[in-house]
Amino acid sequence: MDMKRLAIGTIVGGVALYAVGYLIFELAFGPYYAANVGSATGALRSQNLEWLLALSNLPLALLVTLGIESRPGTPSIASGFVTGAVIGFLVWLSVDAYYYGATNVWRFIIVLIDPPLSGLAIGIGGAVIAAVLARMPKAAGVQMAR
Amino acid sequence: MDMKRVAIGTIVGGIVLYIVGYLIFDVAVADFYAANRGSATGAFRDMPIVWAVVLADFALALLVTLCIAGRAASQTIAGGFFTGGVIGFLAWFHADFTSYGYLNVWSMPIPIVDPLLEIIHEGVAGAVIAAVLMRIPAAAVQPAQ
Repeated sequence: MDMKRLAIGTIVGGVALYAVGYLIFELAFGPYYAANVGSATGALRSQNLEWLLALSNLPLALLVTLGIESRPGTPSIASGFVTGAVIGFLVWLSVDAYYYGATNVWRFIIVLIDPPLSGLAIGIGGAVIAAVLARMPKAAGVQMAR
Repeated sequence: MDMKRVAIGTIVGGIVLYIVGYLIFDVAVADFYAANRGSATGAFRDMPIVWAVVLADFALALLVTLCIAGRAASQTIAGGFFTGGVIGFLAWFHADFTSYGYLNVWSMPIPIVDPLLEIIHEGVAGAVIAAVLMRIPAAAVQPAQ
C-alpha cells in the first residue's frame, strides 16, 4: 500500500466529504433533519461543531481510500463513486439503525432517508478521491537488485 | 463476487456482532456509557428496539464481508480481525465525531473510547467471518463455451 497515495486520498477526500456534506446535510436537508428529531429534548446542538465535523471526515476518507486502493487496476471516477457509495450507505445504515434502536434522537424516517443521502455524499467523495488517485503514478512495489 | 459467500459471511458476522456487541456495550462497559450521556433529556430508550440494533449489525457485517471476500490477504483469521478492526475503528471514529458535532447525546470520552472498542467488536466479527469464508470454496468462474 502506497502511503503517499493514502495520505493524499485521505486529505482530498476529507475536504470533499466536508464540502459535500455541508451542502447536503446542512443547506439542502438541514431543516428536514431538524423537523424529524424524536422525543428527546435538547438533542440537537444550537451551533454545530464545524471543526469537529471537518475532522470526522478524515477517517471516513481514509476508509474510502483504502477501499479504492484495494481494488485492482487504476481507479476510475465510476468505481470510486460505487466504492464510496457502498461504504457510506452501509456505515450510515448501521449508525442510523443503532441510534434509532437505542435512542429517541431521530424519527424512523431518518433511518430510511439518511443512508441513501450518505451514500450519495460519500460516493461523490469517493469519485473525487479516485479522480485524484488516477492521476498519480503508483510507486513500484519491489525494486530489482542490480 | 460470490453471493453465497457474501450472504453466509453477512449472516455469521451479524450474529457475532450482536453477541459481542451485547457483551461489550451492554455488559462490560454499560456503566461507562451510562455515566457519559450528554445534556439531552429523554435521549435514551428504556428498552432498545432489538430489530433495529440487529439491522445495524447486519449492515456492518455486510461491509466487513465485502472487504474480506474481495481480498485474498484478508481471508485468514488474523487478516479478518485486522480488516474488521480497521473498518470498525474508522467507521465509528467518523460516526461518533459526526454525531458529537451535531448532537448533545454523549459527552466527550465516548467519541474517543467507542472507536477503540469497535476495533475489538468488528475485529472479532471479521476474524469469525474470515474463518467461515476460508471453509467455503470460492465459486470457479465458468469459461464461455
